[in-house]
Amino acid sequence: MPDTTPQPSAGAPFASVEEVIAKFAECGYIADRRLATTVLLQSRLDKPLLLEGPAGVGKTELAKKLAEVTGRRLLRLQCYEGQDESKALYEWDYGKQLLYTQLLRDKIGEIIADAPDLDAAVARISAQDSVFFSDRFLAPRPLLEAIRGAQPAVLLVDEVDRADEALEAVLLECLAEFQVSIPEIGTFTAATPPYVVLTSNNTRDLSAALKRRCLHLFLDYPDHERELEIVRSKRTGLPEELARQLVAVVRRLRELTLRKAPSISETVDWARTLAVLGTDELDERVLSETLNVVVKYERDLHRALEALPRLVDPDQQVPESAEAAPPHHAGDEVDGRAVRAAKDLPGRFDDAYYGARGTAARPPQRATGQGHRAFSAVTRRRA
Amino acid sequence: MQVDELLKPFPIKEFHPFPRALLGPGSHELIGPEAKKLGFQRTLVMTSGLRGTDIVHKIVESMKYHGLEVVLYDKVESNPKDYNVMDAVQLYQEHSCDSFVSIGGGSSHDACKGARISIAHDGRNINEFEGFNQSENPNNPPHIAVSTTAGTGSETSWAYVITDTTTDPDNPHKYVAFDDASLTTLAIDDPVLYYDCPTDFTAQCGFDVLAHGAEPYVSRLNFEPSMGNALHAIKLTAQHLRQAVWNGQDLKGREGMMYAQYIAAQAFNSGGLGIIHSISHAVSAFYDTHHGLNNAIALPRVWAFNMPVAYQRFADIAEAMGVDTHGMTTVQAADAALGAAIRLLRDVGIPERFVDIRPDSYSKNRLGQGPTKFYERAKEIKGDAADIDRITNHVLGDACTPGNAKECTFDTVRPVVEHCMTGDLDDLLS
Repeated sequence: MPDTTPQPSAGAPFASVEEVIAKFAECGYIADRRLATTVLLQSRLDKPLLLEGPAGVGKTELAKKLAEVTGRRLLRLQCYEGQDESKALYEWDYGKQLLYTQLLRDKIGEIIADAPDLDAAVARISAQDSVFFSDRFLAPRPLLEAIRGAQPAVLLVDEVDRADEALEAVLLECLAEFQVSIPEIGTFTAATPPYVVLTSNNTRDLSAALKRRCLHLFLDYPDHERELEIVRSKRTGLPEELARQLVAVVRRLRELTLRKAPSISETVDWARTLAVLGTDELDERVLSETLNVVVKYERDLHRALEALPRLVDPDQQVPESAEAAPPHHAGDEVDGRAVRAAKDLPGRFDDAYYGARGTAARPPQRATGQGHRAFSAVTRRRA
Repeated sequence: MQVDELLKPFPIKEFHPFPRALLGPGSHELIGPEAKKLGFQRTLVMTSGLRGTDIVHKIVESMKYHGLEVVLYDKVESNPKDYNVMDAVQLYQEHSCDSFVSIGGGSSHDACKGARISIAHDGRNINEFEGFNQSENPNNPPHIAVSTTAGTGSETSWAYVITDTTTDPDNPHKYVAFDDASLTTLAIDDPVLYYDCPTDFTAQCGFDVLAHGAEPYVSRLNFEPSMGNALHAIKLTAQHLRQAVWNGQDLKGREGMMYAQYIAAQAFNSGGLGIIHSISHAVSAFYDTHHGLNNAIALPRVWAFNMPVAYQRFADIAEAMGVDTHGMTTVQAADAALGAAIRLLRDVGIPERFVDIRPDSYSKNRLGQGPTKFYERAKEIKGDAADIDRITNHVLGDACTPGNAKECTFDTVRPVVEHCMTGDLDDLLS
């Protein structure tokens, strides 16, 4: 094999792709070759790794396992809307500063005791600023901790797509240089650059600048064998043959047009659920009773229940209506004429009318024909 | 329990907010800047085409001039069909658009509102949202609605009307969805854009306004804050419709109708509608006739039907329509409202019965002769018994029916529908 892979630096945790796969497998994370290659590259190139993909495919888990495998400390920055940089980088511990000021009141009094005027007193106190803006009062947040910490770290920046663009910009500086500047103290540069793993569920596009600084990997649902291996590795207690069938069912579920397709972790949950129930055969009944473990929206549940016979046994004939339907024909799922006829029912909107509330008591119906006579009377009278 | 009894039928009302609106001649010039201000970048413009006018062309060019990318969907049909909505959704997703502008009458706006709701629900079929506030996700794309007819009020209201052609293609269903999430982001009402609206179309849209004003005024919802708008809309319509119809380039007439349609929509937004609209929906579901025309034909009959439960309200309407009710009893004044409406209908040249409408005058996007794929072979309205039954059933299941001034049953509504089909308007006059 030509020597094109980056050479291991001192203390590099992995010698080859195979070793990555093996070490992760020991910790119970089944990585495919593509993923393992990316992890190897990350450890050699000192570049952040950006993982994108649907929820529940093991993005966060990868960072956790990376820390476990490499013996590094895991630092996690969970992103959310409105997060500011003080929650990500560092902040001054104001409470502690205030407490110290109170405790040292006498000492401060001494310093300014013989100051001739206010200006001179202020000048003397300001000369002591460095005491209060020192390491002692610095509260490091995950980013600073990852750079400055004595122990090498894995920094997980989770769901970075939820953070505001401003925070993304703060990250840029930190990720590119592995350094954080604190105006009052100076610049910290990481002795050992942390392994950074960023995850995104793609709720918004990340900036090109961020993507450029990262190794990028799109993590999708795994193939059948790998997913089965994952379920197996989790020791769910479900017999092998049932686990195989269950994975096949979940994969077919993902092919339906669901609002939220089942994730790998949900497959594992489902396997555990079935194991707890002591299931020894995957039939329609037991699946339908436990479907809510993997399907989280009511509409999805209806759709999945309809398709269940087909999911259990792909050869079974089921009405086409249960199949994934393109949006134009969603109305065809059931007998159209029956649905249509139900739309002509009098009073079907009475309770919800214009958001009217508390209308349970319907006004009494008038005797049939009264209105007819009334209308006829109007027309007769005017004739 | 007793409280329920005392307060029925609609004890707690809901007030529906309305979007910001730019009203007045020249306001359509502000579409580009306003769109930029709202953060639009790539916009799907939905319209019926408005062929024969250069309104769409001008607006699109102006939007491009202001730096917006524009994707055009100009195949919205009159009485917009579910497939119009879903086609637009597909186009929006294919081109990764981020916003909507709709240009036209109610059809364009309604299709656009539907598309936004569908997009906010991962492209779910729009027919799933019939009824009141059925959407779950209010984060739908921003929408500027530009009116080119004075009638619909759709650019301002929380309602949109779609024809369901898939459930049972032999028996189409036209439904209303009321949804706060469908409210547009900005409404633009520029009377200058009405200049190109043909005479018959202007007249029919005017009667849509009259129905939007009159129905909430007598509605069982009895929503006091809407009364002022409702009555003033009726007054403005009575004052300006004739001028707008017969002298289309007259700014005063057009402007009057612009304000009338705007406040009428405000009135029914919270004040409710009634069976003028239910009948109208049913007839255009089956024959694709123009909504305003249907309203115009149904209006006098439904007024006569509702009058016995709201003489005073109809007397107020008569006054708003310019009748001198001095010295009249309440009942006489109410009768005079009916007379004024019929006189207005005849003055602006609207057909008086459904059987008088010929298939070649059914809606064809009259401003643009746009496509009417679904109804190319629409049958002639015969007004036979089976037809009347079918329409009556549709009326009873319509979301506007519960608000009608008088409670509706098959037996009471059927004669009204029958009269709309074949009855003589003179029967209603004293």
